[in-house]
Amino acid sequence: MNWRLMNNHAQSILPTLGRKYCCQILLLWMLSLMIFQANAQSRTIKGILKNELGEPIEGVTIAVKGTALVASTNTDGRFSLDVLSAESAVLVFTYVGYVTREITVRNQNELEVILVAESGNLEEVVVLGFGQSQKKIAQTGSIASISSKQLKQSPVANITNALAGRLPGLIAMQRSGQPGNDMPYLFIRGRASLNNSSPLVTIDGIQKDYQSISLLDPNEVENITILKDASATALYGVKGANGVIIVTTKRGSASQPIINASVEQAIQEVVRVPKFLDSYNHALLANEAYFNDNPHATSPLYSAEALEAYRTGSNPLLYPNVDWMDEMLKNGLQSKVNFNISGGAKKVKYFVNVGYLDQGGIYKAEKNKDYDPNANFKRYNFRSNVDIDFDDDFSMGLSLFGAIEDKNRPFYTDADIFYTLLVVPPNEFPIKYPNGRYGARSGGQNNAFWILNDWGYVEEYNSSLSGMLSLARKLNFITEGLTLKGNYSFDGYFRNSFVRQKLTIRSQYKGTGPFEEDSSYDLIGTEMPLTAPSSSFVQNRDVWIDMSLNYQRKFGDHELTGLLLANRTQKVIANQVPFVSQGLVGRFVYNYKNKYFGELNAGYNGTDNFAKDLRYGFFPAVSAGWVLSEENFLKDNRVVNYLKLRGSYGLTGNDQLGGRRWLFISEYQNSTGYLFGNSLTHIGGITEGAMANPDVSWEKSKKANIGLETQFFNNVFGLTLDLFKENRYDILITRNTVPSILGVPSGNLPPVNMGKVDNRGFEVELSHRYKIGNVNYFLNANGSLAKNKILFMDEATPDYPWLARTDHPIGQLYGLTSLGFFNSQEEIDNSPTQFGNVIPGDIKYKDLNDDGVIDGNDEGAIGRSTVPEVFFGFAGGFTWNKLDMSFLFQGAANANRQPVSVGYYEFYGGGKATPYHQGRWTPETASTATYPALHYGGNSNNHRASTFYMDNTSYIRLKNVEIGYTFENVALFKNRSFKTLRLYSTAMNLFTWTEAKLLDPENDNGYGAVHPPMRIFNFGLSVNF
Amino acid sequence: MIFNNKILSKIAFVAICTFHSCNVNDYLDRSPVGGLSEDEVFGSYRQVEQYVSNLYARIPTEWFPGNPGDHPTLTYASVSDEALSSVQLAGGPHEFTQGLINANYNPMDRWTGMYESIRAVNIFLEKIDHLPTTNPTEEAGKSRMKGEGYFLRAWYYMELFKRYGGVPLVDHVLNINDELNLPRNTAEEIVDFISSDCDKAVELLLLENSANNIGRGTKGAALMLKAKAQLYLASKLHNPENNPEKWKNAAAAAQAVMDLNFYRVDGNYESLFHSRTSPNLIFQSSLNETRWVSLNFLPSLGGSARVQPLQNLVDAYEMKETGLGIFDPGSGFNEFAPYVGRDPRLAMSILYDGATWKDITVRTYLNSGTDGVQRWGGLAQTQTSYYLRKTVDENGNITPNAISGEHYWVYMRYEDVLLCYAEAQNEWLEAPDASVYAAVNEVRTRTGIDMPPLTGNLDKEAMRERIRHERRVELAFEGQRFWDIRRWRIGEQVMKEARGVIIDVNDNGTFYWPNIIGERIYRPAFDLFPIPQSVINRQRALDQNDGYTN
Repeated sequence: MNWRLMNNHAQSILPTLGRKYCCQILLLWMLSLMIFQANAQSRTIKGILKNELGEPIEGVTIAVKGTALVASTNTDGRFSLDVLSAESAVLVFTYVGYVTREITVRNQNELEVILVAESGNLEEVVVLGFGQSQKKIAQTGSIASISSKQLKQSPVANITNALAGRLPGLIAMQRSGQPGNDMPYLFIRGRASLNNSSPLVTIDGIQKDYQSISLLDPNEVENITILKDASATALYGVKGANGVIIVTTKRGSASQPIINASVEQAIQEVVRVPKFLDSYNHALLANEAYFNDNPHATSPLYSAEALEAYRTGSNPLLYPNVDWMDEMLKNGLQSKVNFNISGGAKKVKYFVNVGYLDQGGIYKAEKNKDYDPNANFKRYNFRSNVDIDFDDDFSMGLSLFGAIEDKNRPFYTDADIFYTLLVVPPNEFPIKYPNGRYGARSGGQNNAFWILNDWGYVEEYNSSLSGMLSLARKLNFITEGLTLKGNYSFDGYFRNSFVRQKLTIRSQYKGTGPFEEDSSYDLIGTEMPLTAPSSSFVQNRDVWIDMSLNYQRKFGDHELTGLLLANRTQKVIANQVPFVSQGLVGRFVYNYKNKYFGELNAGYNGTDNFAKDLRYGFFPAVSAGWVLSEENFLKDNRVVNYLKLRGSYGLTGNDQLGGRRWLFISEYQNSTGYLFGNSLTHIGGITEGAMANPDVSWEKSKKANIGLETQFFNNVFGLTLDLFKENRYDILITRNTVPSILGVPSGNLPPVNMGKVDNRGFEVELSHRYKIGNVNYFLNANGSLAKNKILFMDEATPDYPWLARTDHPIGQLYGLTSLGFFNSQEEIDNSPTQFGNVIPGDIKYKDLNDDGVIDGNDEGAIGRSTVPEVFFGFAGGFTWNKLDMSFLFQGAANANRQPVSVGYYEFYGGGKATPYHQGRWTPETASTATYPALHYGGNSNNHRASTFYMDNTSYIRLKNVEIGYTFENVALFKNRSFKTLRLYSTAMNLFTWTEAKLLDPENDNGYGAVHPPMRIFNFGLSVNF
Repeated sequence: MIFNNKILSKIAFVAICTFHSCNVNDYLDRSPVGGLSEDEVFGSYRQVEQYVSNLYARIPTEWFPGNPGDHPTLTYASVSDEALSSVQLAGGPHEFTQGLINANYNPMDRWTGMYESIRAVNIFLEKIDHLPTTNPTEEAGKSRMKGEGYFLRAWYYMELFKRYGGVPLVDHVLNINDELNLPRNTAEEIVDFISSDCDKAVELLLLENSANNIGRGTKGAALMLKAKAQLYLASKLHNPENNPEKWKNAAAAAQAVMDLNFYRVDGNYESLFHSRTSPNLIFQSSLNETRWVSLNFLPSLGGSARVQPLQNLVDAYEMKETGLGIFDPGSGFNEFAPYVGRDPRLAMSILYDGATWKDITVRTYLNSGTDGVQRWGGLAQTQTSYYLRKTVDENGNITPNAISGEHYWVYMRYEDVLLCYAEAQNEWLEAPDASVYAAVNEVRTRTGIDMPPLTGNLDKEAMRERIRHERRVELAFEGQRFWDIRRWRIGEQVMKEARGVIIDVNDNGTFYWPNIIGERIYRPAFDLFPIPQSVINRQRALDQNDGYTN
């Protein structure tokens, strides 16, 4: 380990901490705890628990035989136990799925214990819906999960951005990197609905808002699991069809307090922003474009004198040359501090977490006396999960969670600022003139610094609170294995924000006079001091209640598990009538000798969105598993040590219909009114509203899944394969074949359950782990394909088959097909009529219908959709003594975007040009041109959706790298030391390989008015005592 | 342990019972809130008044006729030979002037919106008779509202007829299960229907509304609407065989407005769009377009100058002394002082170099500063050397304090009636009679305009040209020219190019250089709009208009 690196690191952290009193408090608290601990007197046994491959195991229970002393291992597999007796002690190590081991400790204080898995590593427990879990070997549905350790490798502010590439079957696209607003799009197995395709989110068994997952601190999350097939999601009935994301938070176990504290400091920079030409090249191309548009013009836009001034930079005030993007952006800082403690005695267990995140903006903003316009996002998290056993039969859990978010941003949004950076030419004006005012041009573009610094600011104060009370009572007096459980949970969201505006005068140089004097300028705009805040406030509340009977019992070789659960929800959103739903969940599992498994899962639930007799739906699923490797013909096979086949089939639903409520009721509604009389008296309007469909219902999905799980060579290689097919039907659509003369706006037509979408694909996961000498390493690859096709959407038959949306994927892109560039006027004359005044060098389009005119009828399906069909990850890593390293490559394929306007189109909207435009067509470069002839301003022929501009947004990126070194027993005080101290560095979005032009490939619309995703370099220190 | 099993099981039992007794079946039953039922609306006079208010709100305001109706660069002026917009935004006027309109794309389409409005008025006309009234005032109001219903239905059909010609005639409320694949009716059938609705409206509407009802349809408005429909039907676009009967009907319909003897010509040119009580107003919007000032003020005053008048229009203003066109011999036009001695309507419509506006002398010559011409077009500065004056309220302001001024669109005014009459009368006669001269001269010579009257023996063709010219100048920037170009089928002649002027002020004097800003593309097919392909795809019985092949 390079100590100098650490010192540098410490220096970089400390000034940051000094600014933040809350961090100081946290550190003080940590230190005081250490001091109190130091008073305890006993002999300490420390150790590390590893599996056969040398990987540390978290959560192993260590008990001292004959005493009540217990401990458990932390995320690094380490434990520490204070034994009072100086004599020998017998330690018992137990962990689910592993053979229990006893070790007699005499005078060693350091142990390394290897636990052997019972039967491969398949005894590991997987999480299912509604608080259920089961051993992996018994799993018959299709699910995937990620543990806390992997989550923490991504130094992201929003935990959902750590999921990409980790979970086969999950598609995650980060469309924006805006601090505090960087939630990616998440789809499980792609999209299958013409309506909302977002998965359901649950946290600790409670259904939550989709956004609530982004409030979590990675340190409080034990596990994130996605449920993919019908058997796993049928329990959710009408809400399960888009898949389910299950988040489980950490809880304590009976052990001495395990304290973890970590401090991280990251530097973030934008992954990718477009490069633009400097003033000289801008002016050269502008002149060329101007003459292309005005062949009879006599004088150029920019004179030779101006060109020379731009080239030499001799007079930057009169002939500015500003690289706006470069001037505006800087590296942002991100700090994270976390402290958590867990442990407990036999009857009371706890996990307490406190987290702090501070994500700074990336603008070179100018702080003024009233406010700092730079974007900033702070989040404070706390959680307390406490479990109390009253006695052997009755237990209670109380989980409290809070997240406080403070956001600060300039009055203009990131989208506006990035738009301005993309559009303002380098020679528009200098950033500031020597008179101290921002440069401006009447009728010209905005000055990016002016809109950032001088327009005021917005502050948001959000808080989310949730609490859950859980009760469990064993009903052994009725029958063995029966438990009654209940949960009551509430979530409150409070979102408060205010805006304060101001304005300043800008200046436009008149062309003469000293630059220091205001009189040499036309002063534009007015001066307005910071206004009083204008604020807004939104408050939501969700309540969830459930009660369940659980049954689990073994009769010889037969094991039965059952669940019957009733639940009810109420969502109060702002000032609307509350949304309510309720349902029943049933589950029955049968296991014979861990060889044959059968499951029946069903949800029966209803929502108030449908007519009274159509409110409830029944969604069953069956699944089965067969462990072939338990059969005699495969048992003890040397190559295949594990082989399982599983399959499922079932029905789920989706009630996220978007927009309108109570689709079964017709009503008249308030509408635009009019003014009458001398005094212009307003009379409000009433008009016919939406038409009802009394038969409206939810959409349904029939899902089939076949899975194969294998392990080879004593678990050295693993392969999991899932094939799925989904038939989504009864999708609620608005009919598209109703003639307009009916006079009902399409949004008011009665919605009907008619849409059909087919979705199919596969997921594959390969794993390899081995140990060579002191080096333990692993390699994991996962990939998924999900292809959907619209089978029916009541589409009016278009005139030409290529215009149809049916039989194409959801979100298919459409546009013209480019045939290259026109090379002569003659070629133009002999080609179909295109758009406006076409000149040589313009894009030539394919006339799909051969009618001699290029128009909307020639816009066929081009490329694919913006959501990738293929998504994959490739992870690996090793540990060597105390050094560990891991990486994740992540990628996507089969996706396109259709860029429009600013950045892509030269000089668009008074904008600028990129190096890409230098490859333009000219008579001399006709054979090598990569871009059409230039035009100044909009061009109706070239600037439209076509294969020419369409981007292939496939990519592979080095998503994460982590390198860490762990010190043990770092002395701190005389008789006290850190058990472990880990120094690590993580990085995110290091390299990207893509064909996509200008913008990051995850940016979907190709319109750069969005905050780009970030590249993050993170340094961290985590201690454990 | 404090608890024993018995207590705990009791607690559990109570918990289960509580959960299951809270009305499992009723939990999802809530009374959905929101709208009223149809019967509730048409059972109440007050609700019906509001329903009618919404019918008025459905009349398109014509400041920005694009669709959706808020495109801040697309004006009737900028898609005809009156003006241009130097800003090119998607859906803006250049798409019209560059010939990019087709069945899949037309930013000025109104098919769907107008059929929605027709459905709304059909519902009203089917229900209004059953509205209970409690007093004579309500009884009178009910009758007037029914007349407004007919007037507005005729208006909506006129909107369709102007754009598409004959369209399917829907005179009752259609149901989703009805046969909806209806073919087009002929232009004659539509105009007959408009005329018949207007006739019904004339019976029920008042000649003059009370002060608190200004803005509603009147007898005069219904008659004028009918006259307009007849005039369009008689024009070349719908009357290629030049059937004189159609012209005769149109003249008679315009005569009916004149015969009311209620409206008067008015020289209120500068307050025309800013006043709601002038004797020449027949139908006017009550919605104030509050953006007009900031969108059309001079750049030096902080405005965006979206409507930039063309030289093409400036050239059309005659010389005041002689009443001759500037290119006519002996007109008295001085090309070195081109704005001197012109028809006074030029100065009241267009701001040129040297004009005065809000006590500022407007300077648009090259390199004159913020208001100077910008040859390749900026976001606000003029590309033509002209700015818009007519329709812009001089009392408005942008900085330091924003005053939006008053801008009420004028749909119909009496001068238009006179010119419609003159046009129709001239066409069906062999040669213009005295009534034609009288109508045109009433417009030309009215106080405040004071142009010399037309005299002498003009033949039918010469008179036609004078009337067309008079319409162009008198009704400039009022959204008329766009339709006149179409019904006269003169687009290919007048929509050739957009011209401005470059004024060069140097030591040797002031020079006016012609400046061709851009070519414009016009095809005869543009005289009618295409029926949107998305509409035809759902209604295959519709035949597309000529020239929009598919």
